[in-house]
Parts: sequence; structure tokens; C-alpha cells
Amino acid sequence: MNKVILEMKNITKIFPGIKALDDVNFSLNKGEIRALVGKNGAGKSTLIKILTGIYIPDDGEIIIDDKKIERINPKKMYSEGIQAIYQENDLVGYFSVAESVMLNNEPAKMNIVLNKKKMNTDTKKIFDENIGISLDPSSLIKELDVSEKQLVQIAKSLVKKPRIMIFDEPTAPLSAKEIERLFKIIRGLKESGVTIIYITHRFEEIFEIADTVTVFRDGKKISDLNLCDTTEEEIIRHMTGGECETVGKKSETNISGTSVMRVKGLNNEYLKNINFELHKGEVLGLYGAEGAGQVDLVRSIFGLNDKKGKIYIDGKGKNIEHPKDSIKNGIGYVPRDRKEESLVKSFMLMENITLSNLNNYSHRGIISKKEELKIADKMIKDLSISTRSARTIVNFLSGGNQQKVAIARWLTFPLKVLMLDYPTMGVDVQAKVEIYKLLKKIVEEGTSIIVITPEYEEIKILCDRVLVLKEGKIIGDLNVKDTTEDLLLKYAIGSANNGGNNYEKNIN
Amino acid sequence: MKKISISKTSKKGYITFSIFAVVIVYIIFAAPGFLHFDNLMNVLISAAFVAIPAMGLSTVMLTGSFDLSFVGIIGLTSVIMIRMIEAAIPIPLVLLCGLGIAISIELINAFLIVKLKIHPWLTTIATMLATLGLEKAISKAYFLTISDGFFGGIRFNSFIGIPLSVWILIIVFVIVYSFVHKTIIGLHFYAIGGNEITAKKAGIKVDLMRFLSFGVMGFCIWVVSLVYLAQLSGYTPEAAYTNLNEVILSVFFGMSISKRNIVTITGTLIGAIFVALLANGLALAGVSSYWIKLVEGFLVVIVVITNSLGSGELVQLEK
Amino acid sequence: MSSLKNNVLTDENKISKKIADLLVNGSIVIGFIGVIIVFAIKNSSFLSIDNISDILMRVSITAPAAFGVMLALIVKGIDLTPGTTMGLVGLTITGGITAGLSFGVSLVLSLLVGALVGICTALLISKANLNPFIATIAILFIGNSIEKGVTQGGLPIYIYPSPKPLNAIYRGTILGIPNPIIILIIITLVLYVFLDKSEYGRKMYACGESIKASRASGIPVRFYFGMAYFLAAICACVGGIILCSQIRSGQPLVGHSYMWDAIGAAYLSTIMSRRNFRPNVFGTLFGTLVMATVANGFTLMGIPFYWKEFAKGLIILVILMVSVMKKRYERRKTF
Repeated sequence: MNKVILEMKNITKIFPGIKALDDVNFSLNKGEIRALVGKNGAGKSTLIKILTGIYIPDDGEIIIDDKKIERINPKKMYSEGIQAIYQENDLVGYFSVAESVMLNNEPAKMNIVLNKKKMNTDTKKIFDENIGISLDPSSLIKELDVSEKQLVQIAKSLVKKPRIMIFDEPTAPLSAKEIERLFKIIRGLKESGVTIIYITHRFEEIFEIADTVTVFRDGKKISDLNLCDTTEEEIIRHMTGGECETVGKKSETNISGTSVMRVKGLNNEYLKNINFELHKGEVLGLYGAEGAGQVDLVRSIFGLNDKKGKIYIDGKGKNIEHPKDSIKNGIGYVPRDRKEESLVKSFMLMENITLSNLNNYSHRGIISKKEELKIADKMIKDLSISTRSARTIVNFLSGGNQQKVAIARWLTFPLKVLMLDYPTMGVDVQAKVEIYKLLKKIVEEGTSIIVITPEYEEIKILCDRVLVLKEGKIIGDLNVKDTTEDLLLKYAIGSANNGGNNYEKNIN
Repeated sequence: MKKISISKTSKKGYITFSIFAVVIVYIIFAAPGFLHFDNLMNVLISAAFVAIPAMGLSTVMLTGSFDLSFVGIIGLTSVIMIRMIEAAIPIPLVLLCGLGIAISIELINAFLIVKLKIHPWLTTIATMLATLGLEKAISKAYFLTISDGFFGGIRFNSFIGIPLSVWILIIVFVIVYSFVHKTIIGLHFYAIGGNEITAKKAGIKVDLMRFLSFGVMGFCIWVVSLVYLAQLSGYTPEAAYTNLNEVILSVFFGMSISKRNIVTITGTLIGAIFVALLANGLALAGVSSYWIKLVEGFLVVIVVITNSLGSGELVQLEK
Repeated sequence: MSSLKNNVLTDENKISKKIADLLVNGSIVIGFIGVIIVFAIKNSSFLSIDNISDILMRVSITAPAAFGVMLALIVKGIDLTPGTTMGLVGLTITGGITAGLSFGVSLVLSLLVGALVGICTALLISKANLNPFIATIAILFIGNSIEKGVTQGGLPIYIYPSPKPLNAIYRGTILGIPNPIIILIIITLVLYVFLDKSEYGRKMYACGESIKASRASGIPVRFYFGMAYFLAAICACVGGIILCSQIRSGQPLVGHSYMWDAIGAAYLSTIMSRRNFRPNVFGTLFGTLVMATVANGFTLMGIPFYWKEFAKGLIILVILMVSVMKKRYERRKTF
């Protein structure tokens, strides 16, 4: 149990202008499950990229099973049995399960002629024996759901007989039941002697699955903690270095009784008879298990999903079928997916800021670059976006600054309602705080906000009221003052104290 | 090309199948000589002009690349071979040189596309123009006839009653089919075309595989240039260029009738045969020659379009 | 890391770096000027006003088609129909005149034919969600068939004498400037303003860059995709009309030879753009200019036509290589 399988000594990695890893010593014992935590940019992902051979460290050495690894490259690390399960889709859509699992490891006659039958039986065996779920080897990847795809990826790495497996935020897209299933598989892997590195932002998972945790901060390894004798508070202290700036709890705001938006009888494939009202100057949180309908609700209101039902803005019924209708009616939406949806990433900052409201900056269809630049500079100043200029391509900005740009584009014209989908996902603590401040400012200026977030802390900080969704229905309408995390969870996943059974109910 | 819902696929299959059936039944009734063995062989010979380069193109497209230059390379290879024969160089050496030229120009394409990462379209338009020009520079844009017995032999001889050109088509099909669908390398081609990063991570030598796929294309080009030389009894300027659209359409035809909606060698062959069959059958049925292309065009296009509905990027917009 | 050293070094030899920058960035233009000088030395009439206007008149036929392809590239597609559209337009005008219609009516008819092609591709791509490659090659195939069908397998339609207004399109002048050059300048400026200065162009680029993000910004994405292909056909239509006026006849499949020049020029604009592979008006115009210049220079030197084709291919390849080296150079600079 205590045999050291991996040792990384004095690892340093420098990128132009930044020390991503600073003299890090990291070692793993055979068969343990190690969690890695740290803020964004703390060095976790750089470490993983070095371990999988994508980056070459500037200094330091890697020793696997008492053997020093000489020339580090992806293939080398791969053949040393280091396997990473990434979140993004790492499969070929039109391949069958068997083809995906066996990729570049295909059973063949004379090393060249495919043996398709053996490919299927081998795949089936892996699923039955190591994963404990049977999946038809001939079904196509594109027909599978997210969690099944993840299982295929795990099976794929098992073929290569891994010694160390890295899971990078594997539970983000999964439902509670699927998470349980994944944890069972990970424990099974541990039993069979595989060492596991587990990266996550969710503390409850660390305590559930991991044995030990390594905390990173600013490119340095801060500590290795044994999870039996540490607490969440201690880990957080190590992550933040005790100098965490907080915004504090939501202060009492004056919510006037006037209704800005009323949603009546909203129905579609994922939503069942949604009714609620949003008041002027109110911040409404949407809470629920992943896939309980919050995202669909917001997208339906904005006109991205089909829907039946009525939406009233300032008491008048409006017909919203396309985002352009909602923009006309003063509704804005910041999607979760910054890379794909909330920004045109190859556009300049200023072009992104004006995109949803271009006709305000153009005369007879011709854009006034001067006015564009003016509003962009104002936004950069107001929101303290750190960028070289308004002409910077947004793709080159950091996650937090991109998010600010995505919000900024809705602040250039009078907005009644701003809807945000997990605005602080993947941004570091500093940027989080700034986004909270920004949202508060927006509310003070009279705009109402609907925000989806899975983090209870955020609801406490931001919201006045929270709607809890479950299976596409609103099952709780709570005043944030009177809620606790337990209460919210109780609504969202049945009864929080009552474990497994209710998880399943939630899914089915 | 990749995103398509499964339930629709089978419905599309029926449309294709019924168009197929109606057309063939019509031709059989309207053109009595159609089912005659010799006529069917003629169909296959004209299919060979399209099918052989189309199979090569399919291989290149599998790895997510493209090639337009084959029309020029076919001409260039043919004209160089014919010039060599005129210079009384022995046939085996001529054939070897032809193969070498076809493959090496394709490898130049591969180098530009794979190593220098230039857009395949731009690259191969350039090499297409260059080879088309070079082809005519060598032939001075004249027809060149061939007197050698070897090519005459291909045209007029048969084996077990089947003309040698058809045998060539069959052999190339078997070779390319087994290579693409039965070997590990073929599967890796598909992996690269489907998700290059995945393929790279799995340790597949992506660049090498791409080069190999262009090599297959070169091989197909060489073979089809032999068929051109034999069947046309010599070299006709830009002969292959006139078949460019048919070649590309056959590949898409094959893709649209495949179950997973991907390029397959069998599908490509069926596409090429379908095009040849239509032209032949309609001519026999007495459709005036200049409307054949139109009818043919409409039918092929209907099949391709109905089968590839939803193949564009805009599918993302479906709510 | 070597990159860090590079950053230190760059400060020391600024002047040489600036010169290198200039050489690299302007390399394609410098090369083009070089080619012009060679042609001018070989043939004294190359730089004459007449010859230059000849080149530009040839550009005026290819450039509109190339602009069409460029529009398709902006929405991350491809348009294979410009040649077909040009051919159909020519046949419509000459066919109309032969059938006894007035020139004006035939011209309107030809514009309608062009618009019809545009509407077909636009609907196939934006409404039926077809892959643009498949959609446009399908139209190309049908269009070619129609061209052959209506001309009984490819017989050209000659009109003699050709109506004065048709003649005037290519051969007339305004203030001493040939009409086609004026048309070229107008269409270039209109497209430049449309794409680079107007909100519609901005939105079209946005749709091409990210379908989802554009929709979430309230842009009707399908409309802009359709518009790109519709305008592409209209552009090709303009090229077809000028071509018809030049050759005073309707030649089936005549557009084919312009298609590759058009596609090549449009792609060249992407590698020459200052912003990451962005198709643009002036790059496309430059591309067609290069091709026309080479063709013209070769003709003046009395070199057979097939070497022209060869040289065109070679020149595209050279430009490609240079742009690759340029990109590498720039990458080294940024790190």
C-alpha cells in the first residue's frame, strides 16, 4: 500500500511572464486516490499536462516505479501507463463502442487485418468485468449520452492497463445517480491496484472518494493532507492562503412590488407548467440538480428553446420566439458556455460588446467605429476588464475577463432582466468576487437578475429569492434569508438526509 | 456530415432505394437491350473511369482531407506514359514510372496539406491547375494515339468473358476495400477523420496515415490513367477533368447511403455505378443525348440531397 | 526557455527587426511587383495604359465571382456555383435576344436566373441544413446539365450583330474609363462597405465565426447564411453579364474556367488577411489581379496557353509557401 509509484521532484515550469509551477514535489502511493485542489491557475492542470507529457518541465525529474523518465512526450507517458479521462469529448462520433475502446489496440491477424469479432467480445468483457455495466459494443458513440461516453473513455484507458489514472472534473456533467456509479467504478479501479488522481472543485466529492488531497496555490504545492484528519475549512485556508476577499452576505434591498416579468404556464419537452414572477430590482436564483430544468427554463424564456406559454414584460404579453425578440424587450442572457455561445471568440473585445445591439452604433447601417470604441472603453473602465485595448481578440483574455465582456455587452443599453447561467464557472476567486460586485451594481441600477448557480454560497451572496427546480417543475419558492443549504438540497434532491433511494427518484 | 439523427436515416434509405428501384425498372422496360451482358459490361467500364479515382478520393476524405488535383495528375501521368512509349521505353518501366509520378505528386499534396497545414482545397486547386497545364504543355494539347499492344490488349481482351477493364475495376475495389475496411490502418483513417485529437492521443501516427491515404489516391490515379489510355486508345486532353463532378458526387452519394453517414468504399462504388447506369440506360431508352445529363443530374442530386439533409453546420440551430 | 531569451534579444536590434518585419509582411506584394518588373522588361507594352486596362477588364469578370466565393467562405462554407451561374446568365441573355426579346428584358431575365440559383443554394443550406459543399455541387451538376441541355449538348449561341447596349457593357467607356473597370470599382467598394463598415457585414462574419454565439446575440443566423449564398450568386451574375458582353455569345460551361480562379482568389484572401484567416474583399481582389496579370503577361510573351495554367498553379503554391513561412515567423515573434 505504501509503495511510492510516482515521484515528481523539483518540477518547475515557466511560461512567458509566469511561473506556472515553482519547484513542486509531488508523490503518489500505489493504490491511493489523490484529490488535487486549488484555484484556477494554481498549477493543477499544468502538473497534469506535464504528467501526461503535453508540457515538458523546465526543471525537475519524474520517477515512475523507481525508474527515471528520460525524454518526456505524450507517447512516452502513455506507454508508462498514465491515462487521463478528460471532460471534453475525446471520442469519434461515428465509431462503435468497440472501435472506440480498442482504438490503436485492435486485435488483428498478422498485425494488420482487423478481427472485428474479437474486438466486440474483448470490449464486452471489459465492460462486464471492470466496469460492471453492460453496453452493446456495436452501438455508435453518437447515440450514447454523456455518462455512457465517459464510461467508454474509462474502458478505453483500461485497455492500456493503466497504472495511474487521472480524472479531470469527471462529475460536472453527471446526475447524482451517475456520479454514484462513477464512484463505484473508481473504487473498483483502486481495488485492482490503479492509482488515481482526482481533480475537482466540489468538496463533498473529495471527502467521499479521495484518501488524500494535495493543495496548490500560485504554482506551488502548499500541502498534502490526509482526508481522515482534515476539514473543509482547513483545505480552503490552504487554497486561499487565508486572504480571501469576500463580498459578504446579500444586503437587504428594496424590492418594489412592481412585476418586471411574469412567466405563465410555460411548457415544453423539459419543463412542466412553470409559473413565476420577477420583481423590479430582484435577484432570483434558480437551483436544482444538474438537468432539473433551470437551464431549459432560462433558454426558453430567451427564445433559444421551443416553448408553449406566456411571458409578460411589464404586464404586457410578449411573443418571444427568437433571441432578437427578447433583446428587443430588454431581456439579456449570458450562457454558460463562454467558448461557444456567450462570445464570438475570434472577434475583438469591442465587437463583442456591441454585437447584440449593433443598430445603436450604426447610422443607416454603417457602424460608427468611434462610438463603438467609446462604449468599449467605458466598459473596460467600469468593469475593470484587464486587456491591452478594446481591439484585443477576446480569445486572448482570461476566463474571468471573458466573462466580464460577456456581461458587459448587456450593459450598453437599458435592460429589464439579465439572465445568467453559472456566471462564475471556471473563474478564479478574485474574478468571482469582481463578478459578484458587478452584478450587485447592475441590480442597483434597476435591472432584475435571474441567475443559475449550483453553489449555495453564491445564492447566499447574490439572491433575494430562490426557485428550486426538480424534473422540470418548480417545487420550491424560497426567500434566501430563511434558507439553509440543507433545505435547498432537501427540495432539490428529495430529502437530503435520506441517501440513495431519493437520488434515483430524482433521476427517473 | 457527422451530425444526423438516427431515426431519419432509415427513412432516407427508403427514398434512395425507391428511386433506385423505379429508375432501374423504368430502364429495363424502356430499353430492352439494357440487361444484355455486353451492355452491363459497358456500364461497368464507364463506371470504372469514375469509380477508381472516387475510391482514392474517398480514402483521402476519410482522413478529413480533400483532393481536386487528381484530374490533372491522371492526365499528366497518361501523357508522360504515352511519351515514354513513343520513345520505345519498355512497358514495365513505363508503368513503374507512371506509378512513381502519380504517387509522388500526391505526396507533394500531402506534404503541403499535412506538414505545412495549408487548406486542402487551396493546395489542390493549385496543383490541379499546375498539372493540367503541364499535361497540355507536354501534349501541346493534341490528341495522342497509342500503338502499343499492351493497352490494346486491355481494351479488347477479356477473362472469363469479362473485359479486362472491368477486372481492373474489380481488383482495385477489392484492394482498396480490404485496405480501408478490413485493416487497422483503415480504421485509423476513420479515427483521424472523426476526431484528430483523439487519434493523436491514442498514439496513431496521424501525419503518416494522411500521407498513406494520399499514396492510395496516387495508386488509384495511376490505375485509372491506364484505363483511360486503354479505353480511349490514347490520350485525350483533360479527359479526366470532364469527370470531376461525377467523381465527387459518387463519393457523396456513397456517403449518403451509408448507415453511419460516412464515406465508404462500397458506397462510392455504388454511386459511380449508379451514375454510369443512368447515363447508359437513359441513352438506350431513347432519351435525347443532351437531356440525359439533366435527368441524370436531377436523380443523383435528389438522392444526395435527401440523404444529406441536416448535414450542414446549421443543424446546431434546431431547437 | 529560449522564448524568454528571444524577448530580451529583440530589444537590441530593432531596426533590423523592423526591416525583416516589412520584408516578411510585404513579401507577397513585393513578389508580385517583382513579377510585374520581369514582365515589363520582357515586353515593353506590358505597362502601357491599354494593357493595364486590359488586365483590369479581365479582373472585372473573375473578381465578382471570386467575391461570391468569398461571401460563402465568410459563413464558413464554399460556393462551387459561380461558374455555372456565369454560364447560365450568358445563355439567358443570348437566348433571350435570339428569341426576339429586347436586350433589357433579357438582362432582367438573366438577373432572375442568377437570383434563382442564389435562392436555391440559400434555401438548401439555410433551410434544409445541407452541407454547403453538397448543396453547391448539386446545383453545379444540375446547372451544367441545363447548360448542356438547352444548347443541344453544348452548341454556343452566337448573336450577330449583338445589341449595342450589350456591347457597351464591356467595350463602352465613361470619362475614358472602360465600363467594366467602373463596375469592378463599384462592386468592390459596395462589398467593402457592406462587409467591413456595415452592421450586416459584421453580423455575417459573426455568424460564420460562431453560429451559437451569434444566435444568442439575437442575430437571425439562417437569414445571414442564406443571404451570403444569395449575394454570392448575384455577384457571379454580374461577372456573367460582363463576360457575355465580352464574348458576345452564350457559351455553355464557359464559367468553368473562371471557377477555379474565383475559388483560388477567395482562399488566397484568407491567408493574406491580417486577422486570423478572415476572407476579405481586397485580398480577393488582389488574388484575381495576380492571376489576371500572370495570364496577360504570358500571353504578351507569346507563351502557349497551357503554360499559363501551369504558372497560375505554381504561383498559388508559392504564395502558399510564403504565407506559411510568414505565419511561422510571426509565431516566433510573439513568443
